[in-house]
Amino acid sequence: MKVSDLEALGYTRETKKEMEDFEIKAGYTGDLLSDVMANAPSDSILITIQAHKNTIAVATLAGIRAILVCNKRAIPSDMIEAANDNDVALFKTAETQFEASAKVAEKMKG
Amino acid sequence: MNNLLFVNDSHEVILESIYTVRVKEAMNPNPMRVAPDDTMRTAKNIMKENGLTGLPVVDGNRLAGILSLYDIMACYDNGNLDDQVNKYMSRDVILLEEDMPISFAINYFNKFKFRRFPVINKNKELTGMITARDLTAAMLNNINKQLQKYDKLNMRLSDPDPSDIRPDTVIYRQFIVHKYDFENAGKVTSEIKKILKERGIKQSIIRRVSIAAYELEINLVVHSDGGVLIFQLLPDAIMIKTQDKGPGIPDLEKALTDGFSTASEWIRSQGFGAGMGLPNVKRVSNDFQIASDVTGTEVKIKINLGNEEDESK
Amino acid sequence: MTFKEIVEHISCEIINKGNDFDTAVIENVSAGDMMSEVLVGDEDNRILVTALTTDQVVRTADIVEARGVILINGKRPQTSMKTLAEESGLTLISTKNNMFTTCIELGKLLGKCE
Repeated sequence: MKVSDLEALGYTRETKKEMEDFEIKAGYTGDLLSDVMANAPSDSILITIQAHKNTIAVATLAGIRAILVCNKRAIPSDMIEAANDNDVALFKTAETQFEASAKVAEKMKG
Repeated sequence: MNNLLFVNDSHEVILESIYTVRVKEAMNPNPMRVAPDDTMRTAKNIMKENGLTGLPVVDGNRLAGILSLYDIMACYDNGNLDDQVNKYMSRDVILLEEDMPISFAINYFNKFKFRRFPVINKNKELTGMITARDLTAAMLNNINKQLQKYDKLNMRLSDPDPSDIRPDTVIYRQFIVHKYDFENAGKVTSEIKKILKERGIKQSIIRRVSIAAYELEINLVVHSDGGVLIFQLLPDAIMIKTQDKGPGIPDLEKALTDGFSTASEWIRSQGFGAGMGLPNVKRVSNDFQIASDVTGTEVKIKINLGNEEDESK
Repeated sequence: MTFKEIVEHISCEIINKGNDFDTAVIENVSAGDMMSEVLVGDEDNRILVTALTTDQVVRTADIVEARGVILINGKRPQTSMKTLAEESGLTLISTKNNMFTTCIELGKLLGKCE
């Protein structure tokens, strides 16, 4: 699955900057940043409700390519800015982490 | 996570320090440094004289790389001490940002086997270096400050105003909730839930009262300096009031917005501070009032016992 | 789905068998680590999936009348969490899988994905 495929799943892209359309090889779901930092695989998508700019720092460190913010959480502008700066694609959805995880997994299977 | 210096069941005071002290406060703000065109000899001398095992390489204000003892050894092995630093330094540097909580630094020390990390500001300029020793010093300093505050906070609160008690009150209870007391957070709610169950109150009402009581209780623990929660069962409704000793909510409107939060990384690591607290309370209440200034915050809510049609939104 | 199906389908360890372990029918999943977010939902017969190992998870589960809690990434409950789960008769399960994988597996059991 490519980052661009997330749009086809109906997720709204918050980062408008042109970025490389990375291949996403794994998914990781969670809201505890220390857990994400320790365990998230690289080249992955993070499914979370943690709409905070520190999430971008963690993503950059862990090699996360895309973040999907669930439950219609409002995304602060400094988070979008940090995502653009660090080439992390940021998306949002009204789905819960459970629904989004199941849907993204389906898409990853191809 | 096999080598975390601090684990998740550490005392709240320690956890709070990890998540609220910023890298900026812990780092060495004036680290020794070399320029990319300095010689390895210069770098070696600086490290030797200052007992350092690593040096940031700075070009103007920009961080160009980092030089370790291993690089000096490599230079002794296959080079010349008159060579320039930029020939040996590593350019692939793991950085910390100065406004990150030190929990990030602890994770970095665990994840990567480096002994020091350069710290940069928003403009990506080097503003300091941080070692595990710096971290420990900052932690101890903060724990000391927190414990002094903590001792003062454990004093009993004064009794609430008797005018709060309505004459037709069936049951009246007041509970004291302490700052940081995550271990006991939720016990008040369990108590209230038990009272309502014994009285045979409808399950859907119990759930709404529990959500409100729990969020208010958590607010006292994580956001206030401690306070009191008053529960009243009336013939037709349930009233809950919380009163705390500060520090007050700077922007009430924002605090009532879904997703807005002033919570620290510590609170978030405990599963709270997602900005849903007060909105959740409001959502389950038939009547919701809040007032706040620097001396404290007061929240009063009412949930009707009547039929479900009365339910707010 | 039932706890029996979950235990057969997902590699996991039962830490506490709740009062309704044999009878509960689970219809919904709340996956996440923010407890207030769990309180927002009003679905019945939920199971919570989280990396958080504190008492607050059990208290939240109790308030929303969740049927059980699955701890992910091989997390073990803190002692007080385990005690509280035993006292409240709440089923507590630990799996080595992460939350993403656990969601997929539970999704399959609930027929939400293949």
